[in-house]
Amino acid sequence: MSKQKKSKLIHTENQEKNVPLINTNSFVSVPPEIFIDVCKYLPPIDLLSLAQVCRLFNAYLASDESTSTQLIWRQSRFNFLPCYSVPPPDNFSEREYLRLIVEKGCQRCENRRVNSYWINWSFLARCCCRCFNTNLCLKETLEQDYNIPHKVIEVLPTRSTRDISIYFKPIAKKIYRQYLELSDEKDKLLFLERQRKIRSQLETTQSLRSANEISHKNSMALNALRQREIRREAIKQRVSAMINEQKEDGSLKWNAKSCMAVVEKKT
Amino acid sequence: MATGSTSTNISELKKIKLTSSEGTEFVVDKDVGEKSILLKNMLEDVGENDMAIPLPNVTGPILTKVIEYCTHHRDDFFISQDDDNKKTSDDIDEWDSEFCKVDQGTLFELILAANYLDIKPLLDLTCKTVANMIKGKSPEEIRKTFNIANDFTPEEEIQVKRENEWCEER
Repeated sequence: MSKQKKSKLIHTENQEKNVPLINTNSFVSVPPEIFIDVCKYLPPIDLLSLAQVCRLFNAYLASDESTSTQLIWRQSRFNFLPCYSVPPPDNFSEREYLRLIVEKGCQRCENRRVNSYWINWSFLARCCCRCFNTNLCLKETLEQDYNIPHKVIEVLPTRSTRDISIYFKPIAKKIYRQYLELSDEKDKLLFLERQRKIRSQLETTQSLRSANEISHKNSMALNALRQREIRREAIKQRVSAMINEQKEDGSLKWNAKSCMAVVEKKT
Repeated sequence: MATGSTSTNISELKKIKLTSSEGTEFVVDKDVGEKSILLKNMLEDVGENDMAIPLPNVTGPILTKVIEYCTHHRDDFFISQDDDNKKTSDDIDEWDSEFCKVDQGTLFELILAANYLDIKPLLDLTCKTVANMIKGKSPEEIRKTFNIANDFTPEEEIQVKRENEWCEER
């Protein structure tokens, strides 16, 4: 509906019912704070559908620099993925962060079907085994193959195991590119300072994040087990009821074989 | 609303007067009116007073609904729910869900009224009801439910779809 048409509609409505303008009563006319209130009951998947409804909702949900957008996705993360309560580092928006957690498959080769993938919490990257293998590297590779200067390498996110620091090429290249784009020396220094902060955020939260992930997976597995148990119980009950069911002539309605057939159909 | 309440010992069935946007006067028990934090604060500020409180943002029919809600829940202890409370929209009781079976216009007016009058439980209830109308629906189904026009250009729609396709679990 065009804006003009809408205001006209409100106008005639006012004349008829003598209602003040504030009572425009549809979902698209609620103030942002109400929209945010509704969103706190919605898991990520419904927020994604909502973002595709119209421009207004898309603006509410997909403007990563707006505080409302950040708030909506943060609420959804807290309420529906409570295990991932550790906030994202400064360079991640809430939406990107949720995407990292929720989306399936490998980010590098876009292979959603691949079964074996995981999130590396040191780099906040989700990759398949092959992509991790080709993209993880040592300091020397960054120096020699990509000519990244020492002062930039210093601020890159890294994972250290037994004095060996491992880097993630795509992130290293991206940060170096952003660094090169800055011409002003002062800006460069500020940029490095910010990256250093992000790096330390990542370092301090890395173990917390992976612990959270494990507890999340455990609770999911436990839940699945419980669900299976409930289904099994339901089938058992149904079968024991069927065994005694009789036809009108008093003979048993089901024999063992047809019992099984019905059960299989149900499961 | 007949809820046969026996409480209200403190406020001793004091009445307050409210005026809806059309100028209709409503008389309600003080404890019912004070479910609205806005009214509660107002009454504290102005003290004992026989003047009707004007509510220019609330129409008569909506105010009637709001009073119905507050009367039914007059004995509930409305704790200011902490934000760390688990947010779920599946815990609506029967009376409340019956109460929300109204046309959409009324529902959104109720939300605005609850927001304006600052009645947190009513705001939560109505927002949950809207959330339940969204849950599990595709964008097209949501448009249909709320009568929203698709104002994306075809190119924008493709782009928006691509940006928002990362969640598969249903």
